[in-house]
Formats: sequence, C-alpha cells, structure tokens
Amino acid sequence: MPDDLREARFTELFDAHREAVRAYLWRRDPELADDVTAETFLVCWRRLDAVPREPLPWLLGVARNIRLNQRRGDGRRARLELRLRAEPAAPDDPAATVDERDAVHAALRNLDERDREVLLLTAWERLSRDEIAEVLGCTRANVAVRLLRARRRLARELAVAETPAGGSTLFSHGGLS
Amino acid sequence: MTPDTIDLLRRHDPARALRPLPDARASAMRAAILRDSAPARRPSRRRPAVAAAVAAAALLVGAAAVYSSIPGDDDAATVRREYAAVKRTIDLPRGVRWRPLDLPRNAVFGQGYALQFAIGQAQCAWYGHWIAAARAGDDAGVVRSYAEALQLRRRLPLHRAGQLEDAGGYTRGTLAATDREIAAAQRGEFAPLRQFLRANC
Repeated sequence: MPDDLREARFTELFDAHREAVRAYLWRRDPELADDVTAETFLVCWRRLDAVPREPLPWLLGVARNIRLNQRRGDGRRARLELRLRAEPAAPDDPAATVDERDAVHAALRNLDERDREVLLLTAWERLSRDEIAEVLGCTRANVAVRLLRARRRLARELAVAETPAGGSTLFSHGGLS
Repeated sequence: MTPDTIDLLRRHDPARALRPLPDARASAMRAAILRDSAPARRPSRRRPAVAAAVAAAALLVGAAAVYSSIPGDDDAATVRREYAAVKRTIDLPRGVRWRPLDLPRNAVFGQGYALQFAIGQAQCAWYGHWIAAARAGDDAGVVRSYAEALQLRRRLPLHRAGQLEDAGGYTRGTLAATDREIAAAQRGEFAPLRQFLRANC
C-alpha cells in the first residue's frame, strides 16, 4: 500500500475507533486509558495490513493485551486497589445510585477476569458473541459458556449484596481489575 | 442475561461520563504515531515495483528448484530444542529469568521463532536495565547494557525481499529502527527505548 494511502487508512481507523478504544480502557483502567490507546494505535499503524475488515474487535483485543501486559509484574493492581478504597464518590450522585453502582462494581470484581470481560464486552461495549470471541481470542461457544456463567454469578453476587448481612464493598469508579 | 441486568450494568457504565479526547491531543497522538516509521515484522510492501517483478520472475523461473528448497515450518518440539540452545548463548541481566515457551501442540512456527522469542526478551531486559542504570548513575551498567543491546542487534535476522513470510526475521526498516533506538539511548535519550518497552515487553 502506498504511503499516502496507508496514512489515510490509518487516520480513518484512528478517527473512527479512537474513542471506543479509549472508553474500553477507561472503564477498566482509567489511569492507563490514554497511554494504552496511543500504544494500541501504534500497533495498528505498524500492523496496518493485519487489521481486519471489522477493526474494532481486533483493536480491543490489542488494547486488552497491552493493558494486561502493563499490569503484570509491577504490583500496580495492589496500588490501584488501595487508591480506589480511598476515593470518594462523586458528590452529585444520589445516594441510592451510588449504592447501586457500588454494589454492581463490587459484584463485578468478584467475577473471574475472563467471565467479567465477556459480560462487560456484552453490556458496555455492546459487542456480539463473535466479536467478543475475537477480542478474547477464544471460540464463540466459549463466550456463550462464560456469559452464562457470568450472568448467574453476577446475579448471585448482587443478591448477596442486597441482604443486610452481605455488606457491599464501597468503591467508586477507578477501574476494574 | 435478563434485560434488567443488562440495563443495570449499562446504567453504571463508567464511560458515560468520559469526554472525548480534545482535538489537539488527538491530533498530537496521531502525529506521534505516524512519526513511528518502523513497520511490522512482515516484509514491507512498499518495495519498488521493479524489485517485486524481478522477485516474481525469479520465483517463476526456478519454481521447481525453489519449491524443493523451501524450508518447512518448525514444530513445537523443534522450537523448544532451539530455544534451549539459544538461551545458552544470550545473557540476561542479573535476576531476570527466561520466560517459558507456551506452544500449542499442533501449531507450526516460522523459521527462527525461538531465536526471535529469546532476543525479544533479552532486548526487553537489557533496555530496562539500561534505563535503570542510567537513572542510578551506574556507568558500568550503562556500558554493559549498551554492549548487550549491540550484540542482540547483530543477531537480529534479516527478512530479505522475496523470502516467504515463514522465513521469519525483521525487515530492514525494523532493523534501522532498532539502530536508531540504540543510538538515541547511547546519546542519553531514552524515550525510544521506553516506547519499545511499552509496545513490546
């Protein structure tokens, strides 16, 4: 591909999907969102010929891998968790909404990482099962199994959080490990 | 999932409050990415048409001979054997361990996969060591890291025009980018090494 076409193709991808990639990262790791977005598109630029016709799942898969690599081995997770516990809720959120949000986030944290990712890719990124399979590098059948399991687990966790003895953990958003 | 649960999750989508990246920052990000001219490991497709035609003609003329000489893909056992051998020829900084190979049993691999896997790890380790040594004023560590980086660079295999993708190796563009990273670090500019670490390690 000639240089000018290559650059035009990249710019098209960058403009069309930058915010979706950034939102994906923001939801999971706001501190890393901008840096990993840049690195994701750097990989995209370097591997432009490998970008498929439907680029978003591919881009999200790259973003996911970069993010997970950055989180490995540096103890970042522990530091982030500590920061989250100290972070206050947004002042304009009604208390009931804050409680519900905290319960949802706490329940999500109790899911296995891949199960949770399947659930969130469905709910937040609104991807199809085929697209999720591409992001995670697994089969569509595996996505279906994980989604079913995650649904049940989340419902159970939320039910526990609603009981007085369950006691939800209070987190505001700062990323999901 | 019940619609209620989906709605519940969507009501608490943290990205609802996320504002788009300002245009100026998006432009700066895009420009910084485009300044990176290093292509992927696959052969560049920007070679002149003449070279492509010559390569194609050569392939056609010698098809039978070429076919018989095409190296086969490596299987997992071969890669493991080569990895064990190549690890003995490359030093890592103290305290850094080799990553184990995780190879699907029935997959095949391009030529030199083990070498490239090992060199990639060693580059990550020595580049990180170099930055840390420079920060700590550890001159011996800087010198050693530079020497190891050069040594690794010399061992990076070249992917020549006309070779099959499975032959592995790095294009001239990637090798030139590696030279630039090392030269910049030697001048005390570590941004390219940091970028390498972020992108590859």
